[in-house]
Amino acid sequence: MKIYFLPKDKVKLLVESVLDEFQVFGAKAKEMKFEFGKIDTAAELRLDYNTTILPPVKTFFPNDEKILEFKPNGQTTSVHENSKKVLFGVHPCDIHAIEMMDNIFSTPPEDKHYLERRKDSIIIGINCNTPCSDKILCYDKGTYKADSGFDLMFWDNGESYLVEVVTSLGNFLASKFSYFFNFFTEYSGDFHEFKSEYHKRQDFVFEKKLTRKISELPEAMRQSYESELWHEVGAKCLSCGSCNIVCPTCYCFDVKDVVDIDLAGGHRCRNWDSCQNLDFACVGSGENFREKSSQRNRHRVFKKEVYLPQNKGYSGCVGCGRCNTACIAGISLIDIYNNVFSEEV
Amino acid sequence: MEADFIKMETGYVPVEAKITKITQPTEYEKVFTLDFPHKEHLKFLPCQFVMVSIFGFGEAPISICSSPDDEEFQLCVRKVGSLTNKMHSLKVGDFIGIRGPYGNGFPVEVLEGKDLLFTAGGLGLAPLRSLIRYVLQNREKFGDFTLLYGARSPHDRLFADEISEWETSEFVDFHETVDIGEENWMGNVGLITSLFPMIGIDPEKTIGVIVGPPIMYQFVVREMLKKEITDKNIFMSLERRMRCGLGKCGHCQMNGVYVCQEGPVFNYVDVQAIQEAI
Ligand SMILES: Cc1cc2nc3c(=O)[nH]c(=O)nc-3n(C[C@H](O)[C@H](O)[C@H](O)COP(=O)(O)OP(=O)(O)OC[C@H]3O[C@@H](n4cnc5c(N)ncnc54)[C@H](O)[C@@H]3O)c2cc1C
Ligand code: SF4
Ligand code: SF4
Ligand code: FES
Repeated sequence: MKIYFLPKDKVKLLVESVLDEFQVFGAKAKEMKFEFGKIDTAAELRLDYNTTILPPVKTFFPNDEKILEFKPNGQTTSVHENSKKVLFGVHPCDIHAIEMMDNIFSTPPEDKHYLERRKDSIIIGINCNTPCSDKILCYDKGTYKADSGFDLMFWDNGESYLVEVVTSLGNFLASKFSYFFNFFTEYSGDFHEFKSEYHKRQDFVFEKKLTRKISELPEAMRQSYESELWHEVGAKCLSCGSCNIVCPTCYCFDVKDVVDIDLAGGHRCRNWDSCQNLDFACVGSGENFREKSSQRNRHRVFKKEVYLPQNKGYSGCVGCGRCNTACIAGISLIDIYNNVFSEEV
Repeated sequence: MEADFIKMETGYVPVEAKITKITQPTEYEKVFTLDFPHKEHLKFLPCQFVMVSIFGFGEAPISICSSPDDEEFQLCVRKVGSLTNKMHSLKVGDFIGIRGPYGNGFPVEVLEGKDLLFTAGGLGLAPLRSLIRYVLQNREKFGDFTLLYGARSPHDRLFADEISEWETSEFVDFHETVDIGEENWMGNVGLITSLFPMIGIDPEKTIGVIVGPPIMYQFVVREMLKKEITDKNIFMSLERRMRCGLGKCGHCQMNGVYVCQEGPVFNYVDVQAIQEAI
């Protein structure tokens, strides 16, 4: 592991050089908010953003993704995208989400479409000095910091960043731009101490939102299966699906065919889908296995806090708060979790 | 039987299969016989399914209705929507895309040496036919074999020719009923549960298997339990919406279980732990 100093006023230069060789994805301003997308100029990239409307992980799992191509000659081929990408400035919660999605899509049968996009990508993380909103659960979840899942990590150090290089890909990038990194000097202080000071400052400004420990959530949630709570949530929910679409750990999809105008060829693509849609679990005979909004809302939350912990050993929510912000009906996971905690005896 | 079905490394890419025969047992169902470029594409277990694909019309999961020991590979398709309507318009010689087989299939070894009680409702006879034919083809491995079938009306009966054979066969005790009778229908009229009083089984030795529309399971399970078949000796194949067959798209999930991966065949003991199952 190497630690470099990077004066903040030199970041732009670094981004410019990276842009010369890689596709760069990062946060950029969009009206009053930020979006995560392809960066064309160094000036566009923002490292001081709060949160992005759509999460970074969607770079590897885009909506409307072409998966098959049908050629006019009748041939069908699998479509893969594997350009070298740098995701520049990913927050810890979103790093956790990428790690989770890596696991989901590499669980057999592997999903080559995600894995190819992901394969050569370099993740540059950036730690959060302050909470990005009051809708987040990252402090409860422990996802406000990340120990893995990134190649480089930026730590705010006042006038400079400390850049932590942890993986061989991170090393590759640092050596590729060695004239940069060596130009700025290596950090000579005690990095462990720096980190613990940094986290101590976070402890002052981040707050817990839940009334109980997150480790108690799966069991409390399990107990709530028949709770009245789901009917209350279901009655408010408009089944718009926004909560799923903005979520960095939602990966359900639908598959659709698109026929070219000449009708000769076309492609099959997958679209983000939402388990809140009425017909999500509807079969050909007309039977709908989650007909009620209360059932669908419970499924969304249970998938994250009961089924994934049970099947995979991790929660399917990194606490980024995007769903809570996106919901026009005012439904919030913070309220749901606290209700579940208060109900359990 | 070993589960030596092929692993599809190709993700979403289908294999081209040629339609070599089409029969139409009812107004809404057709049976397609398919020919594959390679023989290993024909390896599967009873109650497994494939994703059928026609470019421009999407994909749908369809059970294999022939037996692994059959020469022919067959699918029985009810027209309900985009893909299945298009399929019904195809002719012999046309090609369709197939990927799979998917799902766990039926654990045929648990049936060996046992008496069998199969119950099929409606289109459920299609996936079950694979297992029925397999049992009849390997008859010496199994004990008494009772088969119950319920269709909506005499018009909706599938595989009528085979039913005639089963009716007179000494190898299977076959009973059928229709929900709604017709003038020329001489057989039973009533729900499939009405067939249970007619049969005698040895609950110690019997394995029950149920495939049918969602509404049927609770009622048939109750009848089987009344006959004192134990929970662990009841198996069922469940249907869910499926978009990928690869354990990713989420549509087939019942609680934490992906039907396309862990199913579609489930033991009743496991089913009872899954609230959304039946
Ligand atoms: C394991 C398994 C095995 C199966 N085996 C067989 C089999 O052997 N034979 C067989 O015929 N079928 C079988 N099925 C069922 C078959 O997969 C479905 O009927 C499938 O939907 C047919 O696809 P389609 O494209 O023709 O229909 P779709 O176009 O998907 O339409 C199916 C139905 O859903 C409705 N629908 C579609 N989209 C929507 C929407 N957005 N909102 C509301 N309703 C909508 C349609 O009106 C229609 O009634 C099986 C299913 C599973 C899971
Ligand atoms: S469920 Fe909500 S808070 Fe949790 S990861 Fe998804 S969008 Fe973020
Ligand atoms: S964003 Fe809110 S209203 Fe929309 S589906 Fe999700 S919970 Fe329901
Ligand atoms: S069909 Fe997509 S997850 Fe099972």
